[in-house]
Amino acid sequence: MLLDLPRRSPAVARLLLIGPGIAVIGLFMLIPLGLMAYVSFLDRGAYGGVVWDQHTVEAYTSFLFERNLDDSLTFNTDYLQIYLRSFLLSLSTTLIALLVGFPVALYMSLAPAKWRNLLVFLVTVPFWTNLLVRNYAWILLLRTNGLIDQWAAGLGLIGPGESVSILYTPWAITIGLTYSFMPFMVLPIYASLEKLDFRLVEAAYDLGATRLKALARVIVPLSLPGIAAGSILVFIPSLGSYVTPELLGGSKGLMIGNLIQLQFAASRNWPFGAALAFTLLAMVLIAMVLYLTRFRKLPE
Amino acid sequence: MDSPPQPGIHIRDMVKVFTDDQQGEVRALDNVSLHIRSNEFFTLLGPSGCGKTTLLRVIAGFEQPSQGRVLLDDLDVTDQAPYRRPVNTVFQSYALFPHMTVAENVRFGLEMQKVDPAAAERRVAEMLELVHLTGMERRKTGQLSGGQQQRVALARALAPAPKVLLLDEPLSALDFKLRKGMQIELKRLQQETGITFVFVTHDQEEALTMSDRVAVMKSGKVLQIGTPEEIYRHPVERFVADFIGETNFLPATLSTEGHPAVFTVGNAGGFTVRAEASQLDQRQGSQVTLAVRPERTFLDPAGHGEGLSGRVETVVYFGTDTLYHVRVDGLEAPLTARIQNRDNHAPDIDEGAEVRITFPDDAVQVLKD
Ligand SMILES: Nc1ncnc2c1ncn2[C@@H]1O[C@H](COP(=O)(O)OP(=O)(O)OP(=O)(O)O)[C@@H](O)[C@H]1O
Ligand SMILES: [Mg+2]
Repeated sequence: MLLDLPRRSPAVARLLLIGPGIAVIGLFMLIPLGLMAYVSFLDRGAYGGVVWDQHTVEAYTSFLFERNLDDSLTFNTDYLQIYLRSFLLSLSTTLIALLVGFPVALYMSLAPAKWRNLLVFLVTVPFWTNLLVRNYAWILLLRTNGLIDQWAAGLGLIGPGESVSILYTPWAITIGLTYSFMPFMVLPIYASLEKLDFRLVEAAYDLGATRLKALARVIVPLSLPGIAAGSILVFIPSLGSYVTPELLGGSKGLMIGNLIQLQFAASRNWPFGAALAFTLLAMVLIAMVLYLTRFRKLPE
Repeated sequence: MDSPPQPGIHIRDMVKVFTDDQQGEVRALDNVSLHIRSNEFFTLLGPSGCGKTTLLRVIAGFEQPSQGRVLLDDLDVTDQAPYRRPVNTVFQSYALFPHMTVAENVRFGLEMQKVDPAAAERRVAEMLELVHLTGMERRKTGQLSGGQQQRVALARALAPAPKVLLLDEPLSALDFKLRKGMQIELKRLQQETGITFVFVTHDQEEALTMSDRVAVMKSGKVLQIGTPEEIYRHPVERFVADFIGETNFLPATLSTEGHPAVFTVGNAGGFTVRAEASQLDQRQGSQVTLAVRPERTFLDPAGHGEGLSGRVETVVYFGTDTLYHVRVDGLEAPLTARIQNRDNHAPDIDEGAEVRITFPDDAVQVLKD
């Protein structure tokens, strides 16, 4: 009787099929997320952790305001500045990844079919090593007297003993992030370029378009879904990145990820850490909604 | 030996070899030379894979020939990039830009020529009117029917006023009725605009009805160039005769040399015809093939007079005509006679009837095999 139910009722059958998926998402995503949301509205414990029955919006208040000794609030842009810097760094990372990644993806999609799978495989090779190792490799390259300094000196671009001084600057972070997330840019663009009908490009040439015009008027517009997907996939993880700014950014290179980590570790202010995380989440969600309303209507 | 300067497209000694992994070398064009006159409706006709598209792509500039030159009004354009040539293409797949509206598609070529926006706007309207698509300006191309897409492709290619329009089987995706309509419209457009049309098709009827001249191609070679009537009435090769319309092929023996020469058809009866065979170097007694169109093949009741004797195998009524398939002893395939129906009645010849087959001298074409 009971085992018969799925066959007789499609609704039950459907529930049984999607049930496990929902359970996994609920258990491992929604519950921890909900817990952290709750934590962000609690009072901080004296030695880390939280006081579970003290509800307050203090964590969100202190994102924008500093509380003076007399309990009055002063507008404080310290944290906003870190967010702004993170956004700008992620934005430049995304732009550079796009400028480098698009030609790579175009080259891949124009390669003979038999080489393409190999090229896709090669793009993913950096993922095979640990993120930490890759960032340490960049330290070796960028540090004073590192490989880049030696090459620059060898080429006579800098004097002996001088340094191009890139490490521990925002540039180092941008380089590291661009390198780390490049495949996320290349692969979606490649996917949409591979679907592109190159007879359309021929049609553009036929009508008098130069290569550059054909690129701007036909290839780029038709690969916009891939460009958008790649940009999101680079921008969002850059925004929340932790390891790269920690290793390559030095003391002034604090990004949102490092700030949050700081609250949970050294500062022992869990509610504030949670609030910072949810502020970021809200910003990303708003950006996503804007993106979806903008690009949803594009052709396949 | 260069021809005196003449406007139009000159294709000289064109060879295009593709190297393919599986098949090795493919000679898609094998020493093609032809001259397409200005303002002419010129058709490339041939079976699939004979090199029609390749020839168009060489003219457009998408394909670099292995050998040979392309001249456009006596200007050698062989090494010119496609976007520099005053040649536009209506692609077989239409290749309309899916992210643009109908009007934007048509305007594209004008924008590339940096035509002043107001003038471009007028030209777009004019083109859309020409192809009867006024009012469709803001539609996306994906929302159009096949015939409408085809007309957008046409308007887009015509808008920049090219010297030459290349059309690669533009009608093949359309259903019969739409196709007939578009054939007439295309012909009208060509006459109105005075642009040279190079039209590709593998439909012989389409080629005959629309073209000023036709080039019949096979395996990368041009077999014959001529007006539809020349090609239909005087095919030079068996392939051309067979490909264009229906044809009866008859083995014959040259019995008396001369102009015209006399041929004896078949082995029985000693039926003779006279035909001009000057393009062939034939001697008395040599074997040739004669081609006769079904509508010029006549049937008479058996008995008196000369002719081939045969037996009617099948009778097919076609409304305006009746087709008779007649089995003749000693011939592999039955002969076909197409006889016009008088007063909508088929002639009184039934299946199984014994008949005599004749044809007038001027219906006979002597072929080289
Ligand atoms: N890019 C290419 N690479 C290799 N071989 C090719 C290429 N393009 C065409 N060919 C070969 O050249 C020959 C002529 O091709 P083409 O496309 O010109 O034929 P077509 O007459 O247009 O045929 P269809 O009527 O089927 O369109 C064919 O054998 C084809 O396989
Ligand atoms: Mg073709």
